[in-house]
Amino acid sequence: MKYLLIGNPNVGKSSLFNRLTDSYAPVGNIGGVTVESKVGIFEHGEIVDLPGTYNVAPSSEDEGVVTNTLIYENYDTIINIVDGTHLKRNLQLTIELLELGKPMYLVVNMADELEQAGFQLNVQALEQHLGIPVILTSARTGFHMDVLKETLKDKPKVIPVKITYHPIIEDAIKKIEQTFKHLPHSINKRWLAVQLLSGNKGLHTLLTDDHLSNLLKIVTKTEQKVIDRGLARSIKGLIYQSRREQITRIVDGVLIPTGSTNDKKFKSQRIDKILMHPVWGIVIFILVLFGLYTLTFDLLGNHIAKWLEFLLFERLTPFIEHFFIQKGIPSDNFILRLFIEGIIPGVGGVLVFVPNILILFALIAIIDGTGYIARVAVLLDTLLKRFGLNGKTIIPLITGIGCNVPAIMATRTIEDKNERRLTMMIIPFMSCSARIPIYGLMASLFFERYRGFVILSMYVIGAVVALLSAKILSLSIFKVDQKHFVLEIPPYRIPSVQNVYRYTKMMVKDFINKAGKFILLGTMILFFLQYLGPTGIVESQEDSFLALGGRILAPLFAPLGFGNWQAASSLIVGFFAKEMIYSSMMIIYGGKGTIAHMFTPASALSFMVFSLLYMPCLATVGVIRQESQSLRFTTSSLIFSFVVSYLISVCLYGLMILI
Amino acid sequence: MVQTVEKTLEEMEIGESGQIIDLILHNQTIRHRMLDIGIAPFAKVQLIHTLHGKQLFIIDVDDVEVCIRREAAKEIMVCVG
Repeated sequence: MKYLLIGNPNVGKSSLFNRLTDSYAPVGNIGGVTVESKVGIFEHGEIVDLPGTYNVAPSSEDEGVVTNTLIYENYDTIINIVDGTHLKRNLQLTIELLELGKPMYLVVNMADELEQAGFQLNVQALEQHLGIPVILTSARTGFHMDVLKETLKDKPKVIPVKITYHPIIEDAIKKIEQTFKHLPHSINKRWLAVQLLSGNKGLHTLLTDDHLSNLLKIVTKTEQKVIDRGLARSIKGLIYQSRREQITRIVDGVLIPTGSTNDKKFKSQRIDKILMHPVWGIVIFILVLFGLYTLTFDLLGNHIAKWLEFLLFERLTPFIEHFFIQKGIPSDNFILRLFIEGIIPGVGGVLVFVPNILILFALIAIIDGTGYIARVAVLLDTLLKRFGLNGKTIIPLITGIGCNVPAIMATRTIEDKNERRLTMMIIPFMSCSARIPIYGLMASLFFERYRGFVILSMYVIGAVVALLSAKILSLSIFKVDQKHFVLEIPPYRIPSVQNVYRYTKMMVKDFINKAGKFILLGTMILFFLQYLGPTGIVESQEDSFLALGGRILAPLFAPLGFGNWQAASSLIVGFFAKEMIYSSMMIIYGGKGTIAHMFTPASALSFMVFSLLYMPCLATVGVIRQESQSLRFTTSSLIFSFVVSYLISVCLYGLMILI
Repeated sequence: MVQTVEKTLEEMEIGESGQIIDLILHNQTIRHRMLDIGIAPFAKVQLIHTLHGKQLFIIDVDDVEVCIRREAAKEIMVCVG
């Protein structure tokens, strides 16, 4: 069977998905973590985890995925998950789904928090009201997961639910239903009519031009009647009210106060006052970031990475070389050189940074799981507003620290098109994990004493450039409606060990996979390219294709302090994957010694900043094109980041020389 | 007899509670987003606190904590009392 998992944002949907299947969906204590559907397999079939949505009619791109799946995909059953502590709001979506008339289960999650809030749920009464099976669970603690799995075995019966709306709405529904005679019987026409009246533009594709123009006339007329009679400010408002009345009756009947009270909410509000305080909040945020980067790059991560580096270059490399020479293989053997000068420094050198990646993502998962990110979004809203953004932008920006690709996709939660494009344009300035090897290399060669500080400053430079770019762009190209910001603040939660483990594992696995496949292949191609030239196999690297290509661009980088073909070639290769900058430098320069000789602290810093900002990698460019649906925007975004990085690196290099 | 007063959410005092009676937001997309999140007529609302010189309002709507800007708070009518 195929199940669709649907629910409001931040109700534990991804946690439930992870509990039921072997797949992993990222979990965060804030809405908007899932922006695209994810498929997982479990004993009774396939589960599709859809992005969190408040209703079926899309308000943002991630919610559009839900409408499209409900209408166009083949599925057997819907699993609607709701937050037991916020039933009144969550059941709005439930009613919409019930009106669709498909087989459905209702999973009332957060049973533990409902109990703490002093309520007990009468599951049988709720089942009777809604006519579908109801299961009370806690995906976080694993409560009733066995019951849920057992229940999901059988397909529930379809008992159509009909909400009676205001006569004006009912009249409009009848008129719209009549225009749908051409549609197949499988589509519930009443549901379609209610959705279209609610403003679900995602369904307009089902209509012919004539039907659409007819529909718009009915909608305009009905809306005018609703407003004139003072019933609501829109059709959607009136529909919402009718559902709310019904939901209130249901919830009042099924939630039984247990008499126990807890002061969790008040404690949480007291913590909020500190964490969202304009001064203390910022101080704490800076301390959190500082702690995060110090642990990742200085105190903990640095020591492990250095130890691995020692093991790889000082122990393993000489051992392999010695071993093969002893076996009679000449030291200039091509395959041996490929290993010693290509694969080990290129791929192994990137893998040395796995401990840093592991610590960074484990800490991000812990912070995310607590609900702190939502507080940061509130704290920074006033600041971000000045740069043409809003507090919610912090979610894709923080995601960008991991990888720019999901960060670009996370912009789907931003409703305003201009604001979304603006965010997409600045995300590549956020320093992703692929840039860590190059920072590690340059910082250890030129700024050993201030290694942690120099790496942290790359993240700060990336964030500052992102903000300033947003300001310039919001005043010129992407003028945005700056008035509104609505964000739900989730309760504080203790991060689940399982979620932290699985998220970190996923990110580290991605990094290792990339190194094992893409970087390995790239390293091998690069190694061959440095021996191939227009005349065939060349004696000197200087005559290779790699040098020829690099030499064309090298003069461009002279004002930045690294106008040699080796640096230029590494940057060209880095466009395919940022980790490749490190790998290619190790191969082209032939090791750290030459790099230390070819760069100065000023040019090294300029190179680090340029690598950070100059261009998103190929995968990010692909996703920008896909999400923006515009080649022009994608090209502009590439040119913009290149110009910005060039100007900043020139200025920085000039300044460093003066100092 | 309890006296009720109608005021905007922006005019509420910290800790004060009431019931939302109208959303007079002119931007329909934002008004609908408010409905989605539960800021709707008949919902119980309490002003928890304000931030950044009353630029941001932290409210509790039917037990859900939400942050909105002053611009929206000015356009939400509440019956207090």
